[in-house]
Amino acid sequence: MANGAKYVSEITERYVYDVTRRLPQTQRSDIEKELRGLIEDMLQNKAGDGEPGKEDIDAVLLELGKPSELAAKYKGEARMLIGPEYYDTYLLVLKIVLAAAGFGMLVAFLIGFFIDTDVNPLKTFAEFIAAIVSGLAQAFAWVTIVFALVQKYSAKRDVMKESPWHPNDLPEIPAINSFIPKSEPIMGIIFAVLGVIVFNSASWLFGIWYHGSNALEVIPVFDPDRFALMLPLINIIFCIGIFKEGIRLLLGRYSLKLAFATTACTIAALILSVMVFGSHGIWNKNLISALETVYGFTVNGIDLYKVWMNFPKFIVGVTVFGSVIDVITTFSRSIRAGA
Amino acid sequence: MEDLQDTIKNLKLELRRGTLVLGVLSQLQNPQYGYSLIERMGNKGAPIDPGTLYPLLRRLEKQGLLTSEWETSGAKPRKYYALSEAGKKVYAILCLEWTDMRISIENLINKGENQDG
Repeated sequence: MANGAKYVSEITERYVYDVTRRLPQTQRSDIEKELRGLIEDMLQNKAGDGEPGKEDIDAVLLELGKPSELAAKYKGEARMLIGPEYYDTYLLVLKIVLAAAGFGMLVAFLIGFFIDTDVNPLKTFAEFIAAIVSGLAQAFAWVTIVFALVQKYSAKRDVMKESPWHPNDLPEIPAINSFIPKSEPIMGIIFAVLGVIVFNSASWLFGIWYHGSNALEVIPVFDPDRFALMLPLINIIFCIGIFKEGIRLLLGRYSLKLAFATTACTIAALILSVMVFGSHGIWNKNLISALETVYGFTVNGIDLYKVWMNFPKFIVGVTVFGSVIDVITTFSRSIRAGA
Repeated sequence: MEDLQDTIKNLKLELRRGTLVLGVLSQLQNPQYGYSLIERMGNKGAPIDPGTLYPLLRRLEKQGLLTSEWETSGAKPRKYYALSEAGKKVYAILCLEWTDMRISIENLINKGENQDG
C-alpha cells in the first residue's frame, strides 16, 4: 500500500513537471498548483474512499493525455515549424539547394580526382561520401531554419495587422512583365550554392595552373592565410545572395517592397564584398613574380605589377557598377509594375 | 467505413466545440473550481474533458470574461472561477445568439424533412 502511494505521488510530480516545463515561466506555478489539485480530485473520484493505487493514477493521467498536448492547449498557439502558406516554397527551395549542393560537390570531387595524381581512390571516395552527407545535412538545416524564422515572424505580423479592409485595398492586377520568372532566382540560388561550395571546399581552383616538373601546379590568386580569415565573410555574402533570391522567389513579382528589400541585400553584400576583395591583403602579393619565374616572360610596355596592384580597385569598380545596375533595373521594373 | 466513422466523430466534435464556451459560462454564475465544474457538466449530460476545460478557463479569464480566486482555507488549495461583469454581458448575448441559431437550424432541418415527405 505504501508503495502504491509512493508511485502515485512520484508519477504525479513527473507528469506535472513534464507539462509545466513547456509553459512560460510566469504561468508555471499557477498551472502547477491547479493541475495538482485536478489530479487529486480525479484520483479521489476514481478510488472513492479507498487508497488510490497504480491503476487509478495511470487511468487519470491517460485521461489527461500527453503532457506535450496538454501544454500546447495551455499555450494555445499553432505548433508548426513551417505552415501551409510557406510549405510549397520551402519544398521548392529545399530541392533546388540540395540538388545544387549535391551536384556542386560531385563536380568538385571529380575535378579534384582527375587533377590530383596520387590519390587513394577508396579514401577519396569515402571522404566524398562523408562530405556529401554532412554538406546536404547542413544545407537542409539552413533552409529549414530560414523558413522557420520567416514563419515565426510572419505569423506574428498576421496577428498584429487586423486593420479594416476595403475592396479598394485590392492590388492592381500586375502587368505581365512584372512577374519574375522563377528560373531567375532559382539560377541565382544555384550559383550562390556552387559559389559557397567552391570557396569552402575547392578554393584551390582559384589560381593559375601550369605544368610543373611532374604534375599540374598552381599559383594561388589569393593569399592563403588572409583567405582563410575572410572565408566566413565570403560565406555571409553568399548567404545574403541566397536570401535575396529567396525574397524574389517568394514575392514572385516586382514591387516597391521587393525593390527595397533586395536593395538592402545588395548594399549589404556590396559593403562586405568591398571589405573582403577591395583591399590588397586577400590577393597574393607574389603572383606576378611567381608567374615570371614559371613562364620566364616579361611583357614589354606594360607594368604587370602595377596592373596587379590596381586589381582590387578594378574589382571594387566592377562590383559597384554591377550593384548600381541591379538596383536601377529592380527599381525601374518595380515602378513600372506599380504604374 | 472507418473513414466515415472518423468523419462523423470529427464533425460531432466540431459541432460541440462551438457550444463549449456557452456551456461553461452558463455554469459559472456562482464560483466553481475546475473539477466541480467537470462533475457538474458531466451530471447534466454535457461532459467536458479536463484537458480541454482547464486551458479554456484560463483563456476565458485572460479575455476578461472570468475572474479567479485561490481558496486556500480548505484541505486543498483550489482556484475558483466566476463570471466577471463583462462575462455576464457576453453570456446573455451568447444565450440570445444560441436561441436564434437553434430556431433557424431547427427550421432548416424540419423543412428538409417536409421536402422529403
